[in-house]
Amino acid sequence: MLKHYFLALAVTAATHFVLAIFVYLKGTRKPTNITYALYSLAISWWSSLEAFSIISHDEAAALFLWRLNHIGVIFITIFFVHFVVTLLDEPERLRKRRLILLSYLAGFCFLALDTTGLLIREVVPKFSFRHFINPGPAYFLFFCIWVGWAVYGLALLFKVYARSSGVRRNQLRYFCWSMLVAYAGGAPNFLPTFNIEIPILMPFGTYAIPAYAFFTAYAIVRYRLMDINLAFTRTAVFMAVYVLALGVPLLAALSLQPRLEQLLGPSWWVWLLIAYAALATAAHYANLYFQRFAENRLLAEQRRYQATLRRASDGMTRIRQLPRLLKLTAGILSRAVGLTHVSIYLQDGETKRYVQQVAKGKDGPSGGTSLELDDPLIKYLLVHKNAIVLEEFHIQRQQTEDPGLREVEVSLRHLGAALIIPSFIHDQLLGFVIMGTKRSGQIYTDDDIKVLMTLANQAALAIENARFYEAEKERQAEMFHTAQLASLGTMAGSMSHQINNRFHAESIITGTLRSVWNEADLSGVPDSIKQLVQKTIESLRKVEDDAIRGGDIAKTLLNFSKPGKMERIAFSEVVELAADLAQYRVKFDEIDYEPVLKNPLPPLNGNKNHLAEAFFNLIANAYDAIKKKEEEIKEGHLTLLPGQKYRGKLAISVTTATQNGATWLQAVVHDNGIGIKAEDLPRLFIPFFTTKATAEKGTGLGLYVIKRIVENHGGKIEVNSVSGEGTTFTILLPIIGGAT
Amino acid sequence: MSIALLLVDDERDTSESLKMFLDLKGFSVRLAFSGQEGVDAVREAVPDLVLLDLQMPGGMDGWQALKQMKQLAPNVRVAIVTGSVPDRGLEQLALQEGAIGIVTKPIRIDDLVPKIHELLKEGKP
Repeated sequence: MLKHYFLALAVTAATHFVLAIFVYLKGTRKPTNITYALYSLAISWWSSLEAFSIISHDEAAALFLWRLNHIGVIFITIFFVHFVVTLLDEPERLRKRRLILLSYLAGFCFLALDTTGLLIREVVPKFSFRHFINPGPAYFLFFCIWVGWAVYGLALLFKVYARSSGVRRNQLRYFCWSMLVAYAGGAPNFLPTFNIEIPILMPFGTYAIPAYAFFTAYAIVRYRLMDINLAFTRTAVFMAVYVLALGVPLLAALSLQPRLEQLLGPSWWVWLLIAYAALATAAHYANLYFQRFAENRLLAEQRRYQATLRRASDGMTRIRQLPRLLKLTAGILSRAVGLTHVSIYLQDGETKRYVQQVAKGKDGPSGGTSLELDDPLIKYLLVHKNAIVLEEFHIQRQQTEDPGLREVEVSLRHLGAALIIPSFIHDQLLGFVIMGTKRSGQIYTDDDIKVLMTLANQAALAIENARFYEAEKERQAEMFHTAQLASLGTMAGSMSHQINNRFHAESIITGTLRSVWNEADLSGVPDSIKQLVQKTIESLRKVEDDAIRGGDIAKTLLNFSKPGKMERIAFSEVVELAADLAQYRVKFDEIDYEPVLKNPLPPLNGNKNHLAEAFFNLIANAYDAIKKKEEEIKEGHLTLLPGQKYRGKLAISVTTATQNGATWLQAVVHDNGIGIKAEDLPRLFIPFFTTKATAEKGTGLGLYVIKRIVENHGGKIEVNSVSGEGTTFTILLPIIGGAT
Repeated sequence: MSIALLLVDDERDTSESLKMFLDLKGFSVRLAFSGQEGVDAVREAVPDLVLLDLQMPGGMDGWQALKQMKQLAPNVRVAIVTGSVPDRGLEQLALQEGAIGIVTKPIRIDDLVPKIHELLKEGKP
């Protein structure tokens, strides 16, 4: 009986000492780890000293050892409660601060009492123990407080467990049960104090305490309880193997000592030693075998999907369509790792926001969500450039009390992220993957995160690739379009040249004919013929005029088809040139033409011909809108207020304007013409969209060409229009030295 | 003595019509329908003014014809006739090559006679 006690206590002492060291080394600054290590040390202290207390032959030594081991007993529950409190969330944890302080105070009071006879009066032989304590007057109070404190700690632990979720819940479940077993097994050690003996529970119950250590070890290995992983697998296997191989035979030998002595004679222990040597050798190999086995079993699942992810990341860069790449990545992650949900966010090129591109599984962030560039989470990722595991982040956040981290956690929870893997190219955060929990309930190990980061980097490259490919495709389409326009321009150039030549020939021939008739001698010719000749000359004059005008128009087109270069120009020249060109189409005397140019205007870098073409088009459009309105009024489709008369007005105002901190040249072309219908406004700049009948002047290219020219100059064009009232085009062009 | 003009243009109808008009106005007009014919005509007799079209088919365009005419008769006055919009570049090139000026198409026939006189007065060979 005494041997079982001794062995159970010795194993308890050893296991807890190792546990304490491990937990402490894994987090020398984390309160959770420190308190837990202290708690384990207190148990180790108590159990090792009690082991010697109960077998001591000397009464004085036994009393000293008993009082000494009670230092550990006193602090077991105090450290335990303190440890549980560190698991609490912030406001609650702070509220318990005073309680913890009080408990330490009580602990030191009992420590003082421990030096007197008030706690332990004396030691006497009891049951099978050589020496056991008889309690002093304060012992019962101490016992009550101790049990109360243990119950309180357990209750608190269960509360934390009930509130937890996901991976943490799994951790705490193991923890709760193992603590309960430990206390159920450990508490009976008090019973002999009060002269109570429960036969089976008494020696064997103590084994529950080291069993608890194994439970905890399992929880740590399986669920990374305090961020210890493989190191502990090895220790746990090592301890299990050696306790089985060496501890159990020792136990058996101790129980069967009389029989062995009978059987093997007085040198029975020699046989035992030989057996031990053999067992120790066997245990070494068993340990190696079981370690490999345990690791394979524990990590089999991980290794399988990690291999899948590696294969996936190798093939990624071959995919060129971005949407497909993203969908595939999300699918692989979701299936291979077995996630509750996964979603991928990428930075938008224009808004710089991080926008959800693809999502799989329920419980994830709702579709179409996006994060601003100044979101606390984005800022945190930009600084730390590493994966975030929510569970660890939560614990870390609680222990550093940084208010910034709280906001990050809010973001994380809002997104339903158990893990975030960022994806960087150079120092630019391209995007990130949000992952839910594993359906298996397992945690993300360091290995997982390493593999996922590799995948993310690989994905970043693939995404860049795909984006480049898409941009290249767009660029090529654009080039094709430009080439089309250019060939159109060349064609228009040679065509207008030919047309001009024809008009020239026509004007020369009719002109010659006219002057020949004009100078013909018509004396003696009847008056009726003279009148006919006069009429013919007039008609020829009209044809000649028309031919000259036709030729001029063709020449204007010719001018526009010329390629031009960018140079320093004054915008006033552009307006003059445009108005000159517009002469052939616009009858300026029929409308109020009001060009107002600020003087002086800043120079700009541009192509005079192209800008003039754009401006000419705007003037021509305005004129057409005025003519259209006149027509509508004439036909009675539009009615004016009584006494009102319509006269077209075309106002041009060129000045400077400040926008986005830069100075621009602002040209406004306003007309009081027919206006544009609201539904047509969005399509206004689309090529070949025209509201004008084909028989009229519209080609559908005018506004498109204007927009292209303005944008080629780094400018912007806006349109405002009220149907029936008029239209205003506003052009902003960058000026030389205008940017800040 | 009437002013001798040489019109070099591949457009026969236009040229003949123009000759009719200019003859009527008292000029002495010869026609050439290609660059080569124009050069040959200059070799035969140097006119007071050559009106030379730039765009002509058949191996020799206006610029080449101008060069050869200037080689044959360095003092010959040649005016370039073009359908393009005359910009400073074209003007400079024409003067550099030895032309005395530019006539743009289309031109109003009534403006042609004053233009010829202006060219003869201002243009130095």
